[in-house]
Amino acid sequence: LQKFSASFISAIYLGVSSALEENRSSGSAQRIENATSGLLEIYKSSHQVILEALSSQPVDELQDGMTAQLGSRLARSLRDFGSSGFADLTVIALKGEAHPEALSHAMRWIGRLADPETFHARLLALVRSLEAPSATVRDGAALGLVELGSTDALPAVTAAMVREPNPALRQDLEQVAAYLRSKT
Amino acid sequence: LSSNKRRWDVESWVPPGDIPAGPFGDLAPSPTSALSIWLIDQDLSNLDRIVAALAAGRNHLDKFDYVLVDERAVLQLQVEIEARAEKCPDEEASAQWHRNMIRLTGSQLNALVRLIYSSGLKRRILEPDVEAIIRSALQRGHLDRSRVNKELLASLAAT
Repeated sequence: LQKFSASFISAIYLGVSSALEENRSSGSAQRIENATSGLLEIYKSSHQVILEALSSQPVDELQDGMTAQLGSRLARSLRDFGSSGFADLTVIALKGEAHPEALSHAMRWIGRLADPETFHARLLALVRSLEAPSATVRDGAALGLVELGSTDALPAVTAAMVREPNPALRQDLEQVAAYLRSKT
Repeated sequence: LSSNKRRWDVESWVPPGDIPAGPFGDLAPSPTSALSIWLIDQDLSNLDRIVAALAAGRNHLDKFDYVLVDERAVLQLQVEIEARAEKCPDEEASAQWHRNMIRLTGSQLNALVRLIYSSGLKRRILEPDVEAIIRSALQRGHLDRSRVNKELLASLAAT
């Protein structure tokens, strides 16, 4: 009986303990869910703002040298969100979530920003965007690297040139690489 | 013709003998079916001057894409061409080298796009070189400063 009682008590204890654990873990899960949803909100918000900036100028107005409206809106958004903004822009470029022409001009604008503090974030965003599925976006990323004018981009441009399936764009990448080499 | 190089890329999905529709978006005839073009010397000696005239009308610096096509091949399309100056910051260049293709028909436009697609030279001037070309044109007095885009002029003055 003593043994039975002991094991019964243990069983109750284990049951309570397990229930407490479950309760504890469900509380953690709730906290994690809350935190994740908070992060998602931040992500969504930054992502959404960048997307809005990318569609701030009608596509049929996106001509070379005539995209100051898109440029200033994008610069403002990127200033507000810092490095996460550049990461979001890269994701948008790699997933093709915005119009390729808008992204092409956006890439050139991030190369033009006169902000030494974000230099590495911009370099990374442009280099990664050389792998975008759209040739127009890859082209824009290479043009952005010309604006940035850093020879640090040379290995990435050379690699992009080697894997580029579009012969005309390959020639344009060669032109960009030659320009960057001329700066060494 | 000033242009957007990516529109002229050869696309693998296009059936042999056909062309993609994209390049048509690069040529914008006026509502009266006229198309603005420039006559470039064989040795390209007037190219920079024309690039400066066109790029000086933009509101910021950017790369400059253009296509070159043989004048004789264009004339074979039976296109009517008139010499007519266009409003731009370099009046002299415009008076000398600007042309309009006029009364352009749909089939002529189609033939022109096909001609450029198959044998036109698609070229690009990178932004730093465009900047140098504009600065040089300003120094030489080719550009009328009052007609150069104000924002562009301000950005050139700032750097």
